[in-house]
Amino acid sequence: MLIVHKKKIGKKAQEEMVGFVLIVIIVAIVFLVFFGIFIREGNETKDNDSREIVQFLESFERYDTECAIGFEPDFSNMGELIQECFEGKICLNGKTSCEVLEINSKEILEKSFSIGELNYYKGYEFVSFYEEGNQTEEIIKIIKGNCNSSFIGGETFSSGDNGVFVSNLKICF
Amino acid sequence: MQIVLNEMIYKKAQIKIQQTGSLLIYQLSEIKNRRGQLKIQQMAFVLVALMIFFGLVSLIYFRLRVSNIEDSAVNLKDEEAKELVRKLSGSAEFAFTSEDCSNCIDFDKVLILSERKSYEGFWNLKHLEIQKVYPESEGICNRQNYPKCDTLKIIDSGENTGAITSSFVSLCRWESGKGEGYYKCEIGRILASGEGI
Repeated sequence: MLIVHKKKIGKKAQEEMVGFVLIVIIVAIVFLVFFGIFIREGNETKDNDSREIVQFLESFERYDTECAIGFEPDFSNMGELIQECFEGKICLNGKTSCEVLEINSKEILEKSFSIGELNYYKGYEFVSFYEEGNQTEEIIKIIKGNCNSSFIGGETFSSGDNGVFVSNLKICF
Repeated sequence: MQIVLNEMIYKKAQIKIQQTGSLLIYQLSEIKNRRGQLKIQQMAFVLVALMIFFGLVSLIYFRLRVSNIEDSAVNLKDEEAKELVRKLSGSAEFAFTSEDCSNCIDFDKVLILSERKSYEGFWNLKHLEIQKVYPESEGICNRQNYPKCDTLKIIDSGENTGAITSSFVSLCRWESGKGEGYYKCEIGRILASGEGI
């Protein structure tokens, strides 16, 4: 009689445990599904290519500098100056094309994007390089502020003799 | 007589035993009923708790979804506004056609355009201006200080214009200073706001 009673109690306890485990499993599955959706949404690859940055780079490359290589008033724009800097040319005013390129690039970027800890933009990285096959040669690189956080960026290309000149700008916020 | 008495006692005893038995059975069934009720209550509680839990989870999930949708709607509207501003710089009234440049604005042409009042309602905008970013200069552009100026206001309604959308452009103009003259392009921004955006 006592054994039967004990068995009954044991069975009931087992049933309770199974019920409890079932509830825990259901709750865990719901949490996992919810968490999975949440993480997937967070990890969605952001489109970092910004039309605005590309537009800025296009305007940047169109900017006419005070550097003329052949004759005045055939002044080079920034796009041409990148190529001339790569070729090591010197302007008629005596300055090197790389010098003019660096000064103008720094000033343009400074005036276009106000960088600071309290500002929306935290930093930028501007790189211009020549790419031929698998080889790249850096022409100019300007870095300002903190660029470890999220960013938007853009690239422009112009053809050289055997390769391509690439200008890349990354704005961090 | 004694036998009859004994039988009566026996019957009474039997009745008593029966009564006690039925009482025990009744008590046992009541205990079982109570346990059953308790089980039903337990299940009901668990079901209610699960319903509340699922309700809360779905509520949080939909709240997040809605906020994401709202964010993407705002982003889309912003992108659309920027695209409209870019399109504006490519329109015939602004475009620099001397060279092949989709991003260039003819600054000379726009200066003349800003003087024409007939264009104020043309784009359905409350505010439209062009700002020179580099090289830096100061003042609102007019025929007297052009091109040594900073801002060229094309439409200025004076009222609260709301959110302003801007885009980088090249500001190209005829520079007649050195020798025979040449086209000089600078960096600027086109800023617009209003119902058309």
